[in-house]
Amino acid sequence: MEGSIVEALVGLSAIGKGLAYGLAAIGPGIGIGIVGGKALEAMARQPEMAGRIQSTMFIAIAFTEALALLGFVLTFLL
Amino acid sequence: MFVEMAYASEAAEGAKGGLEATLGAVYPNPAAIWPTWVAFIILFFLLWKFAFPAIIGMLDKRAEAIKESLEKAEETKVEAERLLNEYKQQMAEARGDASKVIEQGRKVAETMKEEIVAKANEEAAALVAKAREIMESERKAAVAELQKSVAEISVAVAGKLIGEKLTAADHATLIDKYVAEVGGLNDN
Amino acid sequence: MNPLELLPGKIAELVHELSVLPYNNMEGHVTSPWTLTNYVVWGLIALVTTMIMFIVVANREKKQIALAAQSGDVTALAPAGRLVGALEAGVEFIRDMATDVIGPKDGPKYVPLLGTFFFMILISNMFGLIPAGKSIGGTIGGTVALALISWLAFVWIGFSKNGAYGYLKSLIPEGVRQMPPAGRIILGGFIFLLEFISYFIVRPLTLAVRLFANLYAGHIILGVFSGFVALFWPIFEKDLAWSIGGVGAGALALVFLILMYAFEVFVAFIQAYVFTILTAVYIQSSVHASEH
Repeated sequence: MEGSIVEALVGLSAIGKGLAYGLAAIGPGIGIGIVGGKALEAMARQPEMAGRIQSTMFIAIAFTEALALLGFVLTFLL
Repeated sequence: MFVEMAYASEAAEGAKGGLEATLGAVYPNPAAIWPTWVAFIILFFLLWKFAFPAIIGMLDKRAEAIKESLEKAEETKVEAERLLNEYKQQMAEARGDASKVIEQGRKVAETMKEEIVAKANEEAAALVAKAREIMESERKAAVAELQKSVAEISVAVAGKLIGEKLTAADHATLIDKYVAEVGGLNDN
Repeated sequence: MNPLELLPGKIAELVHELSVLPYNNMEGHVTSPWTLTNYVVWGLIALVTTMIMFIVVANREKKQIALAAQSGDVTALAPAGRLVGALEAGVEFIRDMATDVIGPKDGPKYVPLLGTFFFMILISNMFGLIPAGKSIGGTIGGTVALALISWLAFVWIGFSKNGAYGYLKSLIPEGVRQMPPAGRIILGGFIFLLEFISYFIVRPLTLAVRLFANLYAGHIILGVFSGFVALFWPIFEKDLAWSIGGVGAGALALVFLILMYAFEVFVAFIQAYVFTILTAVYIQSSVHASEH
């Protein structure tokens, strides 16, 4: 009886971890998509600026990604 | 899926507790932190003091050398073009000079030829004139001789015919008279 | 027995191995900070390799420069070999990044720092891609150590360039500083709190976790797919249907494994690049803090 309760709690905790990371990844996923799409648009419009746009894009992606990474850490903390 | 792992790690962590148990896989292990710091510091000093100055110096030197070479090549190209133009001009000048020289030579030869021909003509004419003069003078001499002898002969013949001895003075006047007559005849 | 029943155990083993494996203690946990873990051993191998590469290349270049200066023959400056060319390309890449992001005046000073981050992470990641190899970025300890160095660098530069007051003041935007006192204190305090957390906590945390998460996830994916291949392949002694299905699933997993491997090579480069360019951006914001 005791064992099954522990097992259930462990299972619920696993579900919680999955949900936490999954939910945390939604926003940044959309955000990175927008950043990448806009960067592609800008590069297609001004191919001579592609290098600078690309580095700026990586920086923007890094800032957006921070949220997902916090979720990733949270998954381990749960 | 992770149930077994969770069991295993719970069991192990039960004894450990603390930060390591709470963080699990994201526990920053000191056993990995300090070697990373040491490695970073060693690598940083190597790159900072030794490798990067050499490599960046090389990059700069090479860029400089390439730039210099390009500039030199550009200069050489301009110089070569200038020389080529110069040579072309000189060649054209030389060609013009040569044709001028030939033209001049031809002209000189022409004038020389004309001169020579004119001189020859002159000489020939002079020769002919001289010859004619000589002939004339000889003819005149011959005529004078003839007149004289004719006069003498005729005086002698006349004297004989007349039988009278002419004085020397009469003789002379007579001769002159005849000569003048003959000369007058000759002049006709 | 259904091979899929073996999978959870295999994955648990894999995750466990990738988490905190000590080199000489299979029990699971590092008992002292002086334990020699797999990550440390592979990190030292990567360090020695990097050092040897740079020493060889720098020595050769020094000789070439001396030769060129001595003989006046610029052909001695020509790139000598693939290793030299590769490292030169990397160094030039870092130098261009520094001048591009930080600025032509301040950039060149920080090239050695950024170059150390870049080459250390990149070459370590490459060693991590060798089967059974580990990248220093694959353990949170290593990435935290690197992120702390980056954090220390940009905070130190910020304080020494702008002074303590100037640097902390620059966290509040110019417009808020011009507001009347009430708004300045309330809004300014709030923004200062947010910016302080973002500058001094979120930045190093995300630097560390980004590198770790990408490499850790990559290693787990590679491990899971190679686990699939190993699980499904030897099912020949079962009945025919199982064999065909097993070989088919194994072949599919192998194809995915190869594709993921190619992707992980790309990730190894991209993560080294992202870590370096983010450090450059943070340094730039510290150098020019008083300007905005």
